[in-house]
Amino acid sequence: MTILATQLRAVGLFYRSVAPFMLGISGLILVAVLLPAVHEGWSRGLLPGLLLAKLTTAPVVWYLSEQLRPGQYWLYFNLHVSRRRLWAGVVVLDAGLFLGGALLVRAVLS
Amino acid sequence: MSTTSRNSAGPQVLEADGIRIAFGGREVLGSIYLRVQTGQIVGLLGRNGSGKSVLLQTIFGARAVADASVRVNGRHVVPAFRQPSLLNYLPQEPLLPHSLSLARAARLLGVDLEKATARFPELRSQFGSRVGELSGGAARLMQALLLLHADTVFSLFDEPFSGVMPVHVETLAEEMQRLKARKGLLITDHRYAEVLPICDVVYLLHQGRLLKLDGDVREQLRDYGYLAS
Repeated sequence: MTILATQLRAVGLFYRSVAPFMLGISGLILVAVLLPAVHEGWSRGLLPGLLLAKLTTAPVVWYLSEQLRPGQYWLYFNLHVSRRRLWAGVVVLDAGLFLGGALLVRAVLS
Repeated sequence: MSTTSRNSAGPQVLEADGIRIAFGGREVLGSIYLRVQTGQIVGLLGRNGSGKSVLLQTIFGARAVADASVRVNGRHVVPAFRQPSLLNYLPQEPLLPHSLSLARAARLLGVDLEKATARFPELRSQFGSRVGELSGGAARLMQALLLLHADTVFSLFDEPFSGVMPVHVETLAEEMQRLKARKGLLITDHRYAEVLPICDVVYLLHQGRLLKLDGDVREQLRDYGYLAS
């Protein structure tokens, strides 16, 4: 297994541990903001703002995760992945999933 | 591991010094020089709160300490955990997420689970289990075996025998003896009766200083108040 593949798997595994928070926030934004916007016809140009709002919640998830599971990084350190790289990967993955979900909602409903 | 830190001519040498740590004004680690080389098991003993875990975490690179110097064959490697195949670390607390299966953990760490548990046949029925489904002792043993068999030059073990039943402690100690041929091991554990016989070098952390013990180790451990009798 290459180092890159191991690191990607590590990010995937770590994402699973924070997914309930991150996907919950994504769902909330999509249901509470995007869905009404699509129905009422004012969703054009809304996605960048929603993505920005979504990204601003990442530090909250990071803080909660640090407080609730301070010992969660040992496996990842043993896979040579630092905290910073882990969280960068998680934020990128989560932003991708959020954008994908938002585009899907818009495509289905509009 | 990068080619610059491989030393094909002889043993790999891990050195750490310059590590100074204070908590609440109390200096925990002050005068440290530690050396581990492949082919050696190095024991690190010390009273509770003497800074053993902090020292291991600093060497591993998980704890950033200004001026800490960790070197392999003279090359600066901070944080050491970022260097592929250089070293791994078994923390005192659980290493693996409870939801992870042993088989998946082994794949991630690049370990052949069959080989790693060859001397522990009773563990084989648990390969498909999640870590959270194992007993505390079995989980500890599996985590130690996974890191011991991982392809790294050094392994740092913080309380590897903790919670492991005596018959497995003996076998695990024998595994460590066998695998030191290709690794350097740094172990801290209060089960000194099991640790001392397998160690080539013993250090004692005492009042912030790291003392290398030579000669009659038990007598010195008594003198420094680590052993009662």
